[in-house]
Order: sequence, then C-alpha cells, then structure tokens
Amino acid sequence: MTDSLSRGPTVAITAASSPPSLRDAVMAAAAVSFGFHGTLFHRTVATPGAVFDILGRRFGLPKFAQQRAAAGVDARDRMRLAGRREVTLADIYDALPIESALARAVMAAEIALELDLLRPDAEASDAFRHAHARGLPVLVVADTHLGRTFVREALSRHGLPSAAVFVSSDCNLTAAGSGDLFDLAIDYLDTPRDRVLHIGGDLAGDVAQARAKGLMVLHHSASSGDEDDIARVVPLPPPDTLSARDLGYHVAGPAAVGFLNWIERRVRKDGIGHVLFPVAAGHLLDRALKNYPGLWALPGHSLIPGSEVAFRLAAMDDQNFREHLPFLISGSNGLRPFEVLERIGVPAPAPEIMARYGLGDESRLSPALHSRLRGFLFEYRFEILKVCRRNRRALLSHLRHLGLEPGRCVALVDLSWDGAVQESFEAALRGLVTLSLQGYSFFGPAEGGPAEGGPAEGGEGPQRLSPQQRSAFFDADNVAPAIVRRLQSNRSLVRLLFSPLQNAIIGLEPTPDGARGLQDERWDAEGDHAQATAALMDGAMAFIGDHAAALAQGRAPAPALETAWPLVDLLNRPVPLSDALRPLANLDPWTDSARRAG
Amino acid sequence: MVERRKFDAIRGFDLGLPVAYNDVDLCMRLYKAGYYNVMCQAAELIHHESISRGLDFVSPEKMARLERERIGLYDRHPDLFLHDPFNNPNLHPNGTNFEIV
Repeated sequence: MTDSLSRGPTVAITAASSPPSLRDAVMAAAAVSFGFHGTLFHRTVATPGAVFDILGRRFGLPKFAQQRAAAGVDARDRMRLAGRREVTLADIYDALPIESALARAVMAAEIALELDLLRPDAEASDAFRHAHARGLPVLVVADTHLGRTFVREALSRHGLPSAAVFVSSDCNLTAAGSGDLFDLAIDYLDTPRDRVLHIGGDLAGDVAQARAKGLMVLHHSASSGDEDDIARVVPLPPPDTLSARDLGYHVAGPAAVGFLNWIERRVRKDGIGHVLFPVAAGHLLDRALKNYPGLWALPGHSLIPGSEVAFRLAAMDDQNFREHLPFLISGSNGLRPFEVLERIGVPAPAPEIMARYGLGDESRLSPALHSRLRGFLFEYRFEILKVCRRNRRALLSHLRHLGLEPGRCVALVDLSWDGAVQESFEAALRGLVTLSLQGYSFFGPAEGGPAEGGPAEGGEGPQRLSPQQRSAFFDADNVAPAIVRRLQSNRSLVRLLFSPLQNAIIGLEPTPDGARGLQDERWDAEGDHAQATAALMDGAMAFIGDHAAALAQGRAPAPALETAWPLVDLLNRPVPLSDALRPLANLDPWTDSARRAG
Repeated sequence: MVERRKFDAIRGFDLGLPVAYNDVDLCMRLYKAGYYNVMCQAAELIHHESISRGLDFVSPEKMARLERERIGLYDRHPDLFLHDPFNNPNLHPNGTNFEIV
C-alpha cells in the first residue's frame, strides 16, 4: 500500500493527497533507496517467533524459541553496554546457551530459512527494477541483523538487479532508530539529499528518519505476511493405518516437491547445465517434471537408466576386477550363492558346478564362505565381465544420446546418504567422458560416519567425495543429526517413496536411442506389491497436482524442507502401513533377495 | 590392403582423426559397409611406429590428443566400444596372443 510522497524536511506528508505510483515516484528522484523487510519483501510467517519454532523443530531443540528470543534481548543489552547501535546475528548466537558447533549450524539454518520465507512485494519490486533500468542509483537501506550477504542473496534469488546495500548490522548504524544509516548512504551517493527518495514501510521508523534527514520519502507497506500466501502441505492423517495412496499424497508427494524445489535452487547456485535422475531415485521426480513442465526451472534434465549396481559393474574390467570383489560379496550373508550373480544380472553356472566350489544351492552365505565365494567369483570373472562391458558400452551410448560434451557441469540426483551412486557413476565415466559432476542427495551423512547397509557395506567403498562435490537436502547442517540418521535407517522406505521396487535396475543395454535399464527380474511387476506402489505414485502425483494448482492461484511455495517435513513426522511418529506396503518399506533389493526368492 | 573401390565407397580416411585411430576407424567403417577384415598372418610388414612425429607418451599435449582421438573413435562407433563381434568369447578380452580365459 502506498501512502504519500513528501519532499524534504519542510514538506509534510498529507494523508489526503492522492498517492503517486511507485514507478512515477522513482522517476521524480535522482536516486532511490528502498527499505527491506516490510517494503521490498515480507515474510510469509506471521511473527519472527514462527521462524524460531521451525528451527527448534528441525534441530530437535524444544526450548529453542524461548532461548532464541531471550538471546536477542541479551545481545541487545550487551550492545548497549558496549556503546554499539546494532547487533549482528552472530552476537545473538553468542548469547545462546547451546554448543558452539550447533549454534553455527542453527545460525546458518536461520539465515537460509529467512531467505526461504521472503516473498517480494510486486509493486516495490517493479519500481526497483524500473529505477534500475532507467539508470538511477538504487540502494537498499535495511535494519536487520541478518547482514549484507543475506540482503544481496535475497535480491539475487528473486531476480532483482544488484544494488548498493547498507545494512544496520554491518554498519553499526540504523535507519529506523537514529537515521544515521541514511547519512552513510547519502555520502556514498554524493547526491543532494532532497533529490534522493526513500521508499520505506515503517511510518514512524525509517520513513520518519529519512524525512528528518532531508530525503524525499514515500510510505509503501509490503502486504503483510499471510500464511494463506503459502502452498501448505496437508498434515499427516491421525495415527491409523496408512494406505499406499495416503502415503503417496501425504508423504511422497511433499517429499518430491520439497526435493525438487531444493534441487532447482542448487542448480542455479552451482551453474549446472544438465540434471541426471537415475531411475532408482528419479522415477517420481521425472514424472513430476514431465507432467508439470515449467513448474520447476531446471536446465536440461533426463532420467538415466542406471543404478549404483549398474554403474559399479560398468566401471569393472579385468585389470581392476579384484578390487571390486568386496563389492560383489557385500551384503550377501543369508543369500544363496547363485543369488550373488543373479542380483547383478549374470547367469549362474549349473548347480553342480557351483556345488563343486562348495557353493551349492542349499548353502546360505556367511562370513565363513566368503573366501570360497571370492575364489569362485574370480575364476568366473570373464563371464561377469561380459555383463560389465555391456553396461559400459550402454552407458557410453546413453551419454552420446544425451549429448553431454566433456567438461559439462552435470548434477546427479540420488537418495543415498554416502554418495555411492555418484562415486560409482564417476568411476564408470573414467575413460568415457570427463564431466564436472555434482551430487545432490535427499539425505546426507550424519555425524559419526556412515550407517550400515547398501552395496558398499562390507566392501572397500570408493573414496569418499568432498563436500564440494556433493550436497544433501536433509543434512546435518540444516536439521538435527538424529533426523538424518532416522532417514538413513529408513532408507528402504525413502527409496519406496521415490520409485517402485520393480524399477530396481541392475544393468544397462545399448539401444538405438541410447540405452535401457535392465530390471532385477526377481521382483514381481504385477501382484499386490505392484498395485501398492502404483497407488503410492498416484497419491504422490495427486499431491503434486494440488501443489501446482495452489501455485497457479498465486501462492508461494513453502520452504523446501518444510514441504518435505511430513516424512520426518512419519518417522518420528510411525503410522502403521498397510499390509501390502509394510514388507516393501523394509526391503533392500541388494541384501534381501534370498527372503524374496524363498 | 583394401580395394580402391571399397576405400572410396566409405570416403577413405576420416580427417577428424589426423594422427591416431584413423586405421581402426577405417576398418570399422568397412565392416559396417558389409565387408570383412581379414588378417593375413603370413604377411610381414614393418611399421616404424611414431618415428616421424615422436611417441605420444612423451608430452602431455600428445597424450591429451591421443585421448581425444580415442574418445572420438568411440563417439563414431559406440556400438563397437568394448565389443568385437569377431572375437571368440572364450579368448581373453585384452589378450594379444589369443589366450584362452
């Protein structure tokens, strides 16, 4: 809402005058200054306390909201005692009674959340762009403890041109309190004060102070934070049996939307040119992108018919075969020996041949048989390597089909916590094409190192990736490590949310238009389980459809982690799953094949 | 050796492979044009490998060019990458003396 324009200290604001449009007003000035919170942007939460509540929930700190509010008061008291005029966010977190590493993580999360909660005011943003396009010097004068970097990031994220930024916590001067921040801005501009227009949102604060400093002023309030502005996620139903469709609508759909929103932002930040979604992680994400084109602004993206197993095999040859033996026998305890070949798509020799190695069909693998199994696999390596060469040839064919030229910045999306898919993909790419690869995973490693399980378990895993090469949606940097550990422990359920089990890809085969994934044929593509996973995907797509409709009505997306939070709620407050879902949610196709094979 | 008629039919050497792999590419294209490559073990020819332009492994630039041309070869023939349709599957895939695996 725009109120009125006044020029210089002698001209009073007249409430009765007809307010000029912001566009017209900026053109009457030689330079324009904009307020930040309440003018250019508003928060999509009603009170700052709501931000603290969210952070407390994310980091498992039930008293955080009160502690954070008290720390703000404490920091301001210290500021006054020290003769300073403004606090920084670091000052506030120094006053918090929590451990310093945790304080750093929560502080970073507060900045990220504040960014996520900002929504630009359409009229002020338009005037900002208009002034910039007309070549006027444009400033942002902001009273905030969040710092200059935060303000710049907010402008950039919402497509506003860069501007000179004066922030109270960086300058130790305020706009609304003393108005001294305006003096600093005027010195920078070197323009007569009465030719500078300040557009502010607080009549008694920055507007009054700017006028007192001799600037033209215009009061414009960004529409206040309204929770109805946000595309909300429907809460989980009461603790009752959760059907497959409900699991899709209330958990998988929100998780996919949140993950895609996060990927969209990361892609922009990392300068990614193409996003690859391996089938195991990308089935639902790819469906969402295809059914709702334009809902997410991603560069080129494609589903890649591969998996950690398929990529690992593609990286193997007769020179490095021995190094990969631990991978081949990982997670095999309890399997029948022939299943170790079956799960990588290699035909097993006749039972009597296996029996000659002491690995007959009646035996179940255990550490006592590992040495014998290792010896057998090495002797059988040239049969295994036929499959490896086919996978590698198909991978080259697929990459050619995608047109990914050397050096291209590519993101590989995964669910896993340790970057195993990315590492196996990178190993498979060696000698084929050199890509600049960035890994995006749904959840990252928690403190205390990797959890058990997965193809790398028991194997000499590939070298860990540096944080620069991998980032995670749920990470110990933005949520409590306990939440990340819970996601790890429930990785089978997470996998199920994003892709039906019958999409367990174990190999690749060249085709005229690239490659196709070869599924693990041990999984029933029909039957109750397939119906359950189809209903789950339908529920997820229904949520994504509702989300798209909400955005079309002008609502803003909720912060990505908040959107995906029902999954955390589900893990915190387990809801019984339906009979068809329960076995799927606990199943690992790499290690559990014996039970399924009967 | 290749008949001129066949050589011309596949437009000769690929100038996009100026140093390495042009001979392999020629054979692959002849195969795809429906011809066989026949090895005559009795013939003896002497090729002074890299004598005119030096060995590839002596400089990073030459190694990089060699790698580019290797990738270029399989960019042209992805179907023949790690796949020799004439190789007996019972032979070692990387053997030079036809060892049985």
